[in-house]
Amino acid sequence: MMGRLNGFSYLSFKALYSFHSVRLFFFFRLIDPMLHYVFIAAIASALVGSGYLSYIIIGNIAFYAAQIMIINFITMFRMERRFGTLELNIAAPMNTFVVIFRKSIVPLADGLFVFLFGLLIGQLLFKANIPWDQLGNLLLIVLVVTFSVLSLSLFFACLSLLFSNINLFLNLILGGLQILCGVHFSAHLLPGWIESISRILPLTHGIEALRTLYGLEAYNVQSLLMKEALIGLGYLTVAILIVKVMEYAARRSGALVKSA
Amino acid sequence: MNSAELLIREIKYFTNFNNKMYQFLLFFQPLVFLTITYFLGQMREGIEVERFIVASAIISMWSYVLYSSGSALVSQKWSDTLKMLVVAPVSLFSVILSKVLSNAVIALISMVITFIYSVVIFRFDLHIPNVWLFFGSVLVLVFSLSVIGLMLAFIFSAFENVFAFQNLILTPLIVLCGVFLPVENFPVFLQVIAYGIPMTWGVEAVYSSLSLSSEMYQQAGFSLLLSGVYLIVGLVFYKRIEIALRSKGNWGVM
Repeated sequence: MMGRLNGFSYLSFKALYSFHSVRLFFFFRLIDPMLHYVFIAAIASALVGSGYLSYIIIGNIAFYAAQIMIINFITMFRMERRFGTLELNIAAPMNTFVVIFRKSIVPLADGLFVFLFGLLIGQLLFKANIPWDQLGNLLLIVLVVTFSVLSLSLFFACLSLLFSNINLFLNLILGGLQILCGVHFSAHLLPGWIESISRILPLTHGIEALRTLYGLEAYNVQSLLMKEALIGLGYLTVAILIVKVMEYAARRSGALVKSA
Repeated sequence: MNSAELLIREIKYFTNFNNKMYQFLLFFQPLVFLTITYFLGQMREGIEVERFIVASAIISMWSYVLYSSGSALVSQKWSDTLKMLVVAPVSLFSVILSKVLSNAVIALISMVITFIYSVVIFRFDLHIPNVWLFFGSVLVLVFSLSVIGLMLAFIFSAFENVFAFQNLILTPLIVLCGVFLPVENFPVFLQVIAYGIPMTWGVEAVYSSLSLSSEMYQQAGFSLLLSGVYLIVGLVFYKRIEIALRSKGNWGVM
């Protein structure tokens, strides 16, 4: 069973990802996030001063991991559609969601790696010192945020099948999340109705919990984590429903939403 | 086809609502950066709003030039028109130069869009003390962006996954060219690299025009001078590409 799971995930990784070499991995999973944090640090230092640096970097570490997972998932669905294997997933004698879950293992590991590496970079470059005495809670936050973002990514990946060209959709999602989830500034600064939207998105509570653990905000971490997990569960449920509806529609019409 | 006609065609193509990627760069990215600027501005009193509106505009302009001009040469290969350009009665350099110039002019549109958003949507108090001086410095910046676009088109022709590698230089060049922090604050070796890029001088000239500093003329002069040097180097590179394409039928990954 384990071997089959590993083989399935490994084949999916080799087929869908461009990170086949150590050199590319170095560029896109180590250098690129670091450059992103430096860019954000430059904005923060120029606009609000270096005292705000840790606050904005912590938000961006979580956001960058989310960005990787969302791009991974949407790319996975896009490539499956482009190479004609999306239909095979539906036709496989196995629950479609189990197929997707197995393929999710690599994006999940990728996002987790980027998240943890980001925290290390935060400590080394931006003096966002990891609260080592709270390591257990920190890892719990990372896991909960990764789960909720994974659910959101699956939800967006399903929605992306409605578009023949997903570039604009993907960029709008990433731009929107930066603003709505309090990545660069507190979500409390948003006007009331926009903040209500931000409160039903994954990442918002996770970032607040992370900042609280780093001593940059003062909230109840347990309550925030509970909300983050529930929101993640909600998106996962909706994503499962969408997959089921897509599967039903695909079996009936013999086509999967919009062709690429 | 004359240059004006080519420019109009390029504008139509890049601002077309079917062109999803450039739609985001031109119309939505300025909104994202201005929103971030707006809310970060609420964290601290008395920030220099003009500078950050201009910084948002430069980010949009640079992103646009990077993605459109950076793939100008390799996209000819993708659309299978490169061989036609090589045998055309105009040099490859002239074709790519006209494309990067028109891309830089379209990038100027993104600056105008950023200004419109900042005044209409965000109600920023955008005060430019001398509009003509500012416009002159922006034209210098646009020229430096065109020349960088020309060089990037050459460099990225060596990469298979162009857009992924373009992402890697998107933000470092914004930081390096002093869009947010003055270049003088950087370590010496970074300053040397930064001042070797015409965009750095162009950015400084734009900011100097906002503060009506007399240094603007000197900075604009350096930007034009460096851009001229890059243009000559570009001409040599493109001649070599043409020779390689004609003799071997390929160039790098192309």
